[in-house]
Amino acid sequence: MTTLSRRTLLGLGAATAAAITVPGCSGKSGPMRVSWYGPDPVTKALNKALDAWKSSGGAEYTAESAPFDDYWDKLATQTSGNNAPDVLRMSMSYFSDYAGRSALKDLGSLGIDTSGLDKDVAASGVADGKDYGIGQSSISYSMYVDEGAIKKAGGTVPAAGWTWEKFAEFARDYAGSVPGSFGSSDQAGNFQLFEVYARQHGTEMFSDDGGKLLTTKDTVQEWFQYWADLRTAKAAPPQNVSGETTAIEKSLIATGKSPLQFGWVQQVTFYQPLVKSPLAVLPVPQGKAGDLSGQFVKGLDLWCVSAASKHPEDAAKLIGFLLNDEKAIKAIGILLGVPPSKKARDLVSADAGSAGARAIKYVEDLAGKVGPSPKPWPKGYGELLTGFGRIAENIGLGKSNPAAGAQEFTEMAGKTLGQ
Amino acid sequence: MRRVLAHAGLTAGALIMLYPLLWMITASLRPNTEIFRHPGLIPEHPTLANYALGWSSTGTSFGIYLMNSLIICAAVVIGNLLTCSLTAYAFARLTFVGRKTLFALMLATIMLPGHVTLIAQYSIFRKLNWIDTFWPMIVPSFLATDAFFVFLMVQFIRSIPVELDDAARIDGCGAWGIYRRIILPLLSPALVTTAIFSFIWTWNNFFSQLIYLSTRTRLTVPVALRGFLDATGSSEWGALFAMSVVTLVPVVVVFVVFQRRILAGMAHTGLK
Repeated sequence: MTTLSRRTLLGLGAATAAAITVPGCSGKSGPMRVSWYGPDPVTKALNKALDAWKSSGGAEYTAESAPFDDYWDKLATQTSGNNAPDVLRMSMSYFSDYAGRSALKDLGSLGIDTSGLDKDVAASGVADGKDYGIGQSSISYSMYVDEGAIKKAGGTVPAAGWTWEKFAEFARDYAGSVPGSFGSSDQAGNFQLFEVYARQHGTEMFSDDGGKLLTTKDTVQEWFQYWADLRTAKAAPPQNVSGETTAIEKSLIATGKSPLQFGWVQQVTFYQPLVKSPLAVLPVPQGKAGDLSGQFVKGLDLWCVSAASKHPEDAAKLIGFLLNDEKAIKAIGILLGVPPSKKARDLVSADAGSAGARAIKYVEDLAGKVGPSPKPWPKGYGELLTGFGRIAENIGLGKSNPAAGAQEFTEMAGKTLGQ
Repeated sequence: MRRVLAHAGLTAGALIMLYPLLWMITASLRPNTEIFRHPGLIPEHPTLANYALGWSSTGTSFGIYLMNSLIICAAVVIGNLLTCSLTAYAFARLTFVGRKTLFALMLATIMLPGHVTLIAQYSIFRKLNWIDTFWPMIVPSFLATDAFFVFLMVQFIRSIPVELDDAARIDGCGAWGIYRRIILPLLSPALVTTAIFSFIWTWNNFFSQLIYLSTRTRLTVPVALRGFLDATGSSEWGALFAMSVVTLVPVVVVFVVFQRRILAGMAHTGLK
């Protein structure tokens, strides 16, 4: 189960499916199927939005959901078995795999109203000139800061975040002044934070056609070294601690052992209930102070319609409804991320003191200051994502070192990309 | 003195083995925020809230998932007992054309990795319109597709003296009679082993249940348990542990009830 990647499964499945498909012998077409991944609150919210769709006279549907990891196993099997759901939630991590295998429908002619959406988000699902998906949310990478803990330790938090240099300094000071705690959790294996870092070094991470890694080996090595130094200085936790603190409830910020955590902006709402003082949402560290060009705002989760859908019109209408209808917007709130339109953000940000409102404000403040949003992540991104984490772990455990790890990663990228 | 030491050592070992289970049980009695904060076994503020939450928080009662799992498990156990024993009897005692080849083919299915057949199976079940029903889990077990159990029983039947068959034949039994009156009763240790392992493996079989079932009210226990965890959001650990404890109950009951027979069965079949 673990040795076979989902991508291989998807490819293998496509071949098998083609080999045994009997023409003219397809299953009956029931009502439209809607499928998504996410924790329980997401499922509840989407069911509520779908109820609104039904009571507004929308077409019949059935709903399916699964946790993130399981969702991809299931979707790969369904897609290969020619039984993909009509409307499906797609993550940018797997988007190119599916779009590149013609598993998704071009939404261009289906007339979904995206006029209210942020431009970067509306275009997030465009690949090879075709629109395979529509962004569900405007999100950006961010840093959550437990200001209460930092003030107690006598530190201050710069409103625009730190430079990497100042960040390391802060992490060392904090760890030094609060016994038993770390300045930051270890982010060496965080591929998505690394993308921001890589963009701060002047290039996109991937070439436009997705065939090549543009980020240099030196940058990768520098990154691994940066975190290795923080671990040596005890400003970041050793690997065995990091390995046990990946879940949100177990994270160092939730257990009060570090004042900093990184993640996509909307995830702050998952951390907030576990931390007593309000979490500030700040940009991630920068190369030059105040320069946010490494960061970007993007729709990282998309609504897509499967290529084999027998209900493309209804599917398109439903997507339009979820994006634009007031009741649907309110039901979803910021559970899928910061809403992708100004109208939706105004509708859901009523609760001014909440973590959600701070997430929305963060995204709105970033607009215009961040760099251009990158092309959809290339085919094989999912593999690089897990590979990067594994390499960082090996370095953390002392089985590898930053130079060897960087070499391994660039080689892996060479093999995985452009296939 | 030596016995005391041995006992102390064994008890310590058993406690270490049991620790994760005990931890899960006590964790299920803790509020969500305290689960990972305090090591140790004794909860500071014990509460049954997780059980209430887990039972109903998915919007569908957990009882429905348990019932679904029980239905599938019961059907698989019955299917495996009936058809695997029949198939094994045929392989072990009857002579027919292609017996050796078919036996080798059957063994080969044990060696095929599941992923190779997954998509093809999925396509077949889709064409039969069985997706999102229990049939993909149940029907194969009525076709003796679990080659492991067939093999187990073939080996067992081969150890039963053929003279018994001959005696039965003299008394007028046909092939069917021999199976029912001679083989089946003598096979009971292997049947018990098959029943237990069919039950436990099906009870824990996450993947095919994930792939084939979609509608909430048709989900089974392993799929529902995974629903409490999600890497992209907050996980309901308390509810997960509480429902895991609930999920263990049927397995423990099966073990307690059949415990002696399992041991007897293992002694006979030499299963690890």
